[in-house]
Amino acid sequence: MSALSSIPLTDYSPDGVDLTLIRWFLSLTPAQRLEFHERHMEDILVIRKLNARG
Amino acid sequence: MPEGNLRSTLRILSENQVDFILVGGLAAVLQGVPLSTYDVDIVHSREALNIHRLLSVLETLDAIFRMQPERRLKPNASHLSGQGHVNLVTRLGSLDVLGTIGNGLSYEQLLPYSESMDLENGLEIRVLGLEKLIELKEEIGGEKDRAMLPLLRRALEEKRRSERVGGGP
Repeated sequence: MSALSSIPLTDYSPDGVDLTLIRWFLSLTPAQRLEFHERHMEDILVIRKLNARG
Repeated sequence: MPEGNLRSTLRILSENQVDFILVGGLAAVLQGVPLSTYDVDIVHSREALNIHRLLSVLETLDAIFRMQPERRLKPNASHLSGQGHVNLVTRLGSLDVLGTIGNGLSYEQLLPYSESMDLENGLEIRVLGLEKLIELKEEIGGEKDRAMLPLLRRALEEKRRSERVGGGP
């Protein structure tokens, strides 16, 4: 095992929650969280529509 | 950048001076929980003037009951005066208007557990705190609510940790 591979890439809680994602989201302001969330949900809707056509 | 539908829903409620607390998934998102949700859940004050204001907003949003949308049933003051949940669809998406949540907790009872949040461009709303959101999910105990609990609990821990070290936005 190399030295690099011993460096954890993610940081999970014992119950499997990705804490890095939480830490990043908490670093945003509430307005930024809302904006990101809206964009994310709109993207998902677009992908769903595109795939419903086939 | 134009406002998204979730923000627009919150803005129209706020601009029309509707007293409400944002609860549910979107409240969790604003509190820093990275989850996905498509609807807006609010607990509103059931004071007569507030119900009048809320009805006016719902009219503007073309709100109808989500159940049997083909009948295009509109909510009235009586629906909004009760303790129950009024699940609506509007031109901006789903909006759940809740008289009470948990074990009959009203707007007034939830106020001490909420905080004011600045969503920029003059939009400021009250959002239920993460501790109370977790408590309510634990009370409900449904499968979907239980599944969400680990994420909510870890987010609360991380939030407290970042506050202790002086981080966060």
